[in-house]
Amino acid sequence: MINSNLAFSEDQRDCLQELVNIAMGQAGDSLARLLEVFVNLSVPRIKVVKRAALVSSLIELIGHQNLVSAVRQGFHSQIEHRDVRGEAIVIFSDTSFTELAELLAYEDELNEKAEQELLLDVTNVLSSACLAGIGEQLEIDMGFSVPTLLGQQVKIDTLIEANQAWQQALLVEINYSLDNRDFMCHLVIMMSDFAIKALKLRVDQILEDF
Amino acid sequence: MSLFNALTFNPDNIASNAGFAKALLNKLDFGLIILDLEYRVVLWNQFMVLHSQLKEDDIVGQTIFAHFPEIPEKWFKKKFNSAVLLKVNAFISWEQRTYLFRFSHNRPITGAAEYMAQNITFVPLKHNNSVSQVAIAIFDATDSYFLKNELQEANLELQRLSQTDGLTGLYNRSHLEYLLRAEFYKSQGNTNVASLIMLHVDHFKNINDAFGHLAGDAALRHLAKLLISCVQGSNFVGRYGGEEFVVALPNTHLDQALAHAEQIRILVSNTSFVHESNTIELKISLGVAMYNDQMNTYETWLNGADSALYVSKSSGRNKVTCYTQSV
Repeated sequence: MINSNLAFSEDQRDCLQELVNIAMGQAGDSLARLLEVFVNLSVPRIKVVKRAALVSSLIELIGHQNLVSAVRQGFHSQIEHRDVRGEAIVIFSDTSFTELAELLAYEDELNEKAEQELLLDVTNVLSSACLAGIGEQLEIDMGFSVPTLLGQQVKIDTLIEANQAWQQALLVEINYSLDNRDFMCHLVIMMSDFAIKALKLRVDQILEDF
Repeated sequence: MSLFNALTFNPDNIASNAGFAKALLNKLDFGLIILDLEYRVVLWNQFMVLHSQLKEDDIVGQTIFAHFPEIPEKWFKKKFNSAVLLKVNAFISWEQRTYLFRFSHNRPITGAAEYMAQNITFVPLKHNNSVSQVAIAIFDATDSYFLKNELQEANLELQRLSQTDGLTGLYNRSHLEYLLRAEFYKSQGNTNVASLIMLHVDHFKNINDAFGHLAGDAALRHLAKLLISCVQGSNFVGRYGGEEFVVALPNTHLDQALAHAEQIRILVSNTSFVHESNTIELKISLGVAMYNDQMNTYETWLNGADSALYVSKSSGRNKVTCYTQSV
């Protein structure tokens, strides 16, 4: 089991990429309606990485090693009666909180707690829109946990704890930005070993149906 | 219908289960509201009745804002709509927003917070893949709130203790060095000036021998009080050794530092120190050193003041000496 190869075949990869692309398009629509602004989403990048390479992969996906703030949110689903769990992280660098406050109709004073609340709320919105969309494409029900702060103004390598039990992780990264607004962030969806297997099963089923 | 009679789930009797569900909602210790898309209350459970003093009949059919003006309307609607449009839960955590509703908490005697801290979840109620109502669950998080406050206070106290010298209440050696190091680095490569004074009690051993160690301790406490009274603004003082103290004077040139040191010397010399009806003579020797860019480490700076202090000691005591390169 430890050495089982979790790499995706070309068909599986193409299928997953296609599903995620569609999901992102729909998520973009819902977000635009909610936030009343056009949302730009990058083409999702999908990678399977070994545990030792997680931090460097994150740094590569984010594109820099400056200080960031990050919020995490757990998600769970069932595929073929198997529990599938993962986490989404939204990584913010250099956030304009006044922009965020406007987006989320925040009217109070922008103190430290307010900034935290804005990060948590925008994460909930971006991450669950995206994951719910993916869930819809895969025809699975998604549930989400309360988002929590991973860190504010910290280095990327402090976000993930060492000594993880899993061997490989699937990463789906999307870059969000807004038209005419100074806001940008990265959403990275992560799931490991067991969840990846269940996901591949589902992708195979979808491929069969074609 | 009595709440207790209805609290039995009966898998065979569907009709009674509706009553059961309603009774359960009222018995559970969390708030449950259901709002429609116009933000009007559809359901208001017993927890909410208890804490708001509003009976279900008083509020059903009206908007939530009508009875709770403290809720920021635009923000609430945006959050509510995120649950409706995205069809996923939305959350409010007490750690960022202590409460949404101003309810009293269950510690009216022992707890010193104004209102109940709340964790809130917005749950969109889906029917045929569209959402026409949102359930809002409110959980009392006041215990967590109190625990976190206690933790923060304990941490502050811990930090204070780790920086403080127990006997005198001044900064202890390690924190003093930490601050001096910072001051040193600030001065490096800058045009600002900074000076420090190292001072040492004269004939401290005599005080201990003649009047006992308690008198010696009292002398140090007395000296510490005088030093604190001389320290303002960005200046700071700490206990460096047994009877040795350092006063740091950022943004101060050697001339002013010398004057300052002389003031301290006179204050100590002229203020009588009385311990158990003994008037005990208390005098100090001082050395003053200004930062210069030949100093490679903060220890060099301290050593400069120390050398000057040594000169004060070996030339009669109860005086101030300035460190110059030739010392």
